[in-house]
Amino acid sequence: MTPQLPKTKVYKHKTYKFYSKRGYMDLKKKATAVRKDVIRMIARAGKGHTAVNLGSADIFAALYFGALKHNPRKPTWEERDRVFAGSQYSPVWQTTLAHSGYFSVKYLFQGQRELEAHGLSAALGSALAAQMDNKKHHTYCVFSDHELNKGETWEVLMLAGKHRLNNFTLIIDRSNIQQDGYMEEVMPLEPLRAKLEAFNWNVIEIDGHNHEHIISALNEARNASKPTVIVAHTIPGKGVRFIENKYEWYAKAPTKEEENAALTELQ
Amino acid sequence: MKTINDGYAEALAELAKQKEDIVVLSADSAEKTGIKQFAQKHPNRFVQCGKAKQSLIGIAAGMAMEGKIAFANACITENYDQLRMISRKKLNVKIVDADNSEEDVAIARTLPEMTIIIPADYHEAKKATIAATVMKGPVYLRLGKEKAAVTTEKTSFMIGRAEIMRAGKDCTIIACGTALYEALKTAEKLSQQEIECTVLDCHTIQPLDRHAVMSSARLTGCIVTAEEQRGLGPAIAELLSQYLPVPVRMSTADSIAITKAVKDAVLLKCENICPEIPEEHGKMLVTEMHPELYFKLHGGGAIKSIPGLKKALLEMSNETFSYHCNEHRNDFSNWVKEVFREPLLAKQIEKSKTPIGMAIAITRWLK
Repeated sequence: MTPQLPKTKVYKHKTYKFYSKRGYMDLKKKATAVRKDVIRMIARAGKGHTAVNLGSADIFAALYFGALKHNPRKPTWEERDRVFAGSQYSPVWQTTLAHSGYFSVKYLFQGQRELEAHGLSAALGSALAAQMDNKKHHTYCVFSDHELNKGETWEVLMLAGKHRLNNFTLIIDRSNIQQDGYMEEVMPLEPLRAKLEAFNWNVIEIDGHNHEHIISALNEARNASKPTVIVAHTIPGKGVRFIENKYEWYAKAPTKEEENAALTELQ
Repeated sequence: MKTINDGYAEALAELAKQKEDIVVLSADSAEKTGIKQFAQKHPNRFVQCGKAKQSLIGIAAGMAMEGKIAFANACITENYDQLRMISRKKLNVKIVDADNSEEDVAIARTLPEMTIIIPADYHEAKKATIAATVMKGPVYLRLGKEKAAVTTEKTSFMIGRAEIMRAGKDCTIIACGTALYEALKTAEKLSQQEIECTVLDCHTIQPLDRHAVMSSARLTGCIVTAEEQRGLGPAIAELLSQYLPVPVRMSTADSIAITKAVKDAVLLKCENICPEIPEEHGKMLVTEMHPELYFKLHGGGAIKSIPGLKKALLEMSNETFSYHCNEHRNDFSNWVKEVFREPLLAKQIEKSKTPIGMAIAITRWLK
């Protein structure tokens, strides 16, 4: 869902042709800009999930600057695509929204604001309601792989398979870290693909930092006859070497020096 | 005899014809709550989730975000986190619980935006379902298991307003759900022993009808609560300990227990063990009503309480005033009569034809 914030400057929103090389280059630049603001935002707030937010910046950029049907000038447009995300993605989500023109970037740094964050079940409810009314929009849900530890998630996966919700796409940010350690040590998930396929889902595995892969997977998901889950293998903390692949950075905010070091590395 | 569930199911079947937005979710409890009929008639508006009670509430929340009125038939002892989301965002989800655990109302009371309704019998369940559908926002509807004797066939129903079922001067019994019948029966028995009891049907536990509870407590001087779960008693005690400390005794839905509690409370009152009732009549009137009971002004805006009415009358434009108060009707008087049940004040308001006259009448009454 989109936040209701005061409108200021509206950024020009280009429509990307998914088959031109230049489009993907632009997406990469946008993702880097988002990463920088994410670092600034978390450092200023003093708390936040640094690693997963940096790792999923490419997914959010591909969604908002590429695949999504939306209009930043009309945040309550009836036919817009719906996006839901886990609460830990709040910084990267807000930054992407600001960069795509929903509100000014300067609002990001004016105190903390909690974005509406919902569980996977709410996303599925929204998609189910759309299916009942034969609406054409698509519902996306971005969430972290450690949510798969929860029982509620599997309840929902079962129900989506039952209703054959082909207007629903779940993007799993397979970062492989959580607060206490590496995912496969804390609570092993593999073989994930077989598990999801057994729940009657259409599974696509991609590299979560390759925009070409992400966009083509999102396009494929729109035309599937089953609910689609995109398992995006990401490197947590992508772009900043001292954060990459370290579970200690799961829920830690950078200090002033670390912020500066990260920003210079992202140049 | 028709059960409480029948009332809910029948009301739902009627409403489903009128409102296309209604969707029903079931946690393997269609049989128990009597919604099989709905499922057969409107299969495309019925979601069967199996025993998955956690995701059911989340899915109902998602549907409400898309503009649906979601009836979630599930117990709430498993899914507190999802309920928090509904309460915080004030989503239009109606949770219908027929499982009847002892703790459920106590759990629901911790959610500030949740309206909690416990119907007493078939008729009240029907009225409550209709009122909950019209109302916007989360509602928790607790359907009693037992076949309840009919007590509320002729009473009116408004969310957030307690019904006075019987008047007496010695003690107030506040009951809800299936305990109401027992409370009325006990009150009849006690009147033979020269203890006259007021009986309130407090079907809406949150937000509580503070006006009715406080004025009744002021008149009778002691309170007994009767319920089959845990929720009404604590709510009443919370309110009274702050503003009007009178003896309160909490009882179960059992007739013997109610009798004992009433005698206990009346004796306590006579011994004057509790401190004197403070003469703060004005304070209780400041308390606001449930948003459903607000007086909606013609030009926009709402009045929340009787002092609020006085203030609004003085600031009101002539146009608005003549819209609400003219030869054919007097909305202010009706509102005071219906919501606050203060017939004397309503009469005085009806007599005076100007806003200032009404304001003076209210000021006099407040003193």
